[in-house]
Amino acid sequence: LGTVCRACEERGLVELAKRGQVDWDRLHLIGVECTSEEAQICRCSHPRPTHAPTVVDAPPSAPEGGPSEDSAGVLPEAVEDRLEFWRYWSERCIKCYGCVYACPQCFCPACALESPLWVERGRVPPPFPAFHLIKAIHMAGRCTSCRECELVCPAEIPLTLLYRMVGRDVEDLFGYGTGASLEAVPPLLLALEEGARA
Amino acid sequence: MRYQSVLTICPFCGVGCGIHLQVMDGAAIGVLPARSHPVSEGRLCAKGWNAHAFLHRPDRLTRPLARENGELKETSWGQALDIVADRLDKIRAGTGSDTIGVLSSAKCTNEENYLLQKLARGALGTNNIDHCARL
Repeated sequence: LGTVCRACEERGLVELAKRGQVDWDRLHLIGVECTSEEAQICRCSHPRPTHAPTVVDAPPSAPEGGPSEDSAGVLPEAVEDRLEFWRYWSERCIKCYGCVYACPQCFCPACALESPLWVERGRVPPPFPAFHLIKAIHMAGRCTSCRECELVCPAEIPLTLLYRMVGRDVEDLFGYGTGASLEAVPPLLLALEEGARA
Repeated sequence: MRYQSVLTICPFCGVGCGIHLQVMDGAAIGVLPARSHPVSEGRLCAKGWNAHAFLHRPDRLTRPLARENGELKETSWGQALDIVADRLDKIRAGTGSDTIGVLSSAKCTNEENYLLQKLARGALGTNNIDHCARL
């Protein structure tokens, strides 16, 4: 199966392969480099596909490690202000589940966000911060910042920023770069084996 | 296996968001938002994301039914319209036009909704007309 993909989508396919959702050996990836402008819009520091045997470059292609992925300039400094920041965005949520439907990494047949056990039915906006944090935590070691969630969100909630911060923690705490290598085991899969990794 | 992505309009409300219906072997299996659409710009609400869900439901009404001796029976459009016209006529003659109410639908076009209010006000003689498109 030939698949055209950006670097983030390529990393996403790596994560899907690790979870048995795609057969990596049957994929033929055609990578597409993003331009500097595109990388800047996405605040992406890894705009170049690394696994695809065929890569279409986009001169002038974006430099690796270029624009910052961090939250500086978007997220307030103080913790209380950050809480307010996320509360403000959460209250705009119309609970359309677009972020779940659009997410290539959301493949669970039974979604926690659609279970009345976790999310009260008929309540809009959804409970803060549980609703968005459930999704964010499930994105640990999965989200590759393709921004599909952000682009479909009618409330324009900066979801990718939230998932990126989880991804940053996963990298800092477990040394796991999401989608970076086919061999590394995602920390959430490892956690099932107690004591496998200190 | 034949897959098609059909660009169309969400049938639910008056906004008219652009959707791509995902069609597999003639059956609508999903919805994707249309990013090129000037109104919705690739965004949808919960109803839009599920706009395909009612299409193939087995309990969906596809033919007119008339109640006969308390039981719903399939009938022709001509007969169904005759029954409705006859009953509306009787109600109007009995208790008056203001005892009739008309409910329109967000699934209709503007033009169809206009025609229905014309029918309500002009033919039935009532101002009791409403719809679910006032979201």
